[in-house]
Amino acid sequence: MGKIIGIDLGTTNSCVAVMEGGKATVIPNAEGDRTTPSVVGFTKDGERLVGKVAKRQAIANHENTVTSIKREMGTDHKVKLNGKEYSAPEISAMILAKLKQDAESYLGSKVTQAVITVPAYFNDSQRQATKDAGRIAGLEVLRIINEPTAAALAYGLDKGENKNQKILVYDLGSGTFDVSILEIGDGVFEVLSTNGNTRLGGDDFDQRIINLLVEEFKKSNDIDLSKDKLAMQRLKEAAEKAKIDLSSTPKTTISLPFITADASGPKHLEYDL
Amino acid sequence: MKHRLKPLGEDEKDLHSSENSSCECGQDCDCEPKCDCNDENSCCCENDNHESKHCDCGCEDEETKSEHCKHHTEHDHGKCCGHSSSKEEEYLNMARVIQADFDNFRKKSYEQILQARREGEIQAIETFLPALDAFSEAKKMITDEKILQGIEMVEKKILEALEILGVEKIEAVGKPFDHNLHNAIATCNDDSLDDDVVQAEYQAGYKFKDKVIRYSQVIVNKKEGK
Repeated sequence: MGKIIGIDLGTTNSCVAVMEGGKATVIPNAEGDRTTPSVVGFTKDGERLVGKVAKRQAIANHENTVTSIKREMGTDHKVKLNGKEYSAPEISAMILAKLKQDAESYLGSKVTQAVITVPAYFNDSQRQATKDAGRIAGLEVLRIINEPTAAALAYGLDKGENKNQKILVYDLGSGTFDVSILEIGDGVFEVLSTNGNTRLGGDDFDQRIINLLVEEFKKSNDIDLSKDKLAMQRLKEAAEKAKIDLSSTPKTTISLPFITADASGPKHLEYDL
Repeated sequence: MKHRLKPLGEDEKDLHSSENSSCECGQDCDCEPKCDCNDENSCCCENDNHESKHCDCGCEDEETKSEHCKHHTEHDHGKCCGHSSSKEEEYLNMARVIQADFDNFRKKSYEQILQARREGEIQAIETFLPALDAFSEAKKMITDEKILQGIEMVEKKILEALEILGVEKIEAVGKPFDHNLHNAIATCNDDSLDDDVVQAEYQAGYKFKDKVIRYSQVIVNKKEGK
């Protein structure tokens, strides 16, 4: 019997895992990353691109690239790529197919069954659309699990001493933020309440850091970096790196030498966050 | 061949029927009929003691087992041609699966070692790339020719060292946009260039032994109306 994979089909990024020795192991994709951007694109020659490669060409080929398709699941929304119309489940299926393929090359065997997570607030048609996506990708979807439930399971909250309890799951993704209250009783999970912000995620944290740096640089140098595209790109990268650093350290230094120049010479940005 | 005791309380047919006459254990067993292990000639095992008829019995009671199969312990039924049983097949299959699993594990471990080594090299190189970027940023802003020349010389030395390690800079400006090498961060509209050609490079990309370790961050020309 083949292995069953677990898929987090996210708005911005997706992830696939498998149980190995009783533990969930994240499967790295062909590029070696643990998450795959939920981006699908088609080149002029009709080549289908999924994941990071699709993301890389998104700006240069935005008319044939689709992002955040999860927001359209369960609706009649169609996406036109290279002159052909696709439904949301069809696009999601392309992402699932890529995850399936990565899982197969990691496991060295065919994968035909999967469990997919969806937000707790997904209605029946959105859940059905997710199942359809799995089917199109050649996966038998054994279960659709609520994302907070999957998180609670991953932390083993249904086992141990406190088998019966109420928990709060705080899921801050790249583009969405969900908070759910679950009740666990004898291995049964019930979502009591769910809320959040569908347009708030890690990217907004990056933006806040960028804004702070631009402001501080303006104060000390009287130069507005937001008008300089290249400087902004460097700030964006540095901000994201700083945010990641701050997950494991209380302080980080953002250092961008030669960020810009004026009549008096080159300017450097150095800031402790 | 299995030699099992008839389960207690089960009202079964007479297991010692004429068909099963070869079983001489004298117990109320449900042995498969036509067991020929009592025939020394048909048995390839090295044990000369063929008193026992049903060595691979499924008896759970040790006492009964010893009664049934006198050379139970030394009789290697894996090699006994007259005794292929479903249990043996099962164990054989299990062994094959374990062997295959082990082979896969060994291959995977070897690949993982190679990959870990490669990742270590890549990580070390990646750590140096921001410093290298700073050189190209500095070059754009330094006006003093002597200093610029010095900076270029230092940069060249670093690039040469990286080249020895197998690192290669990715060509970008003036080349058609290639999603396998470049990362588009913005577009521009330049009439002097063809559509989808890299107009400028914001950050250099590098390859390490044919693997892209950092994509060139580029600005791609998009002709208006296209």
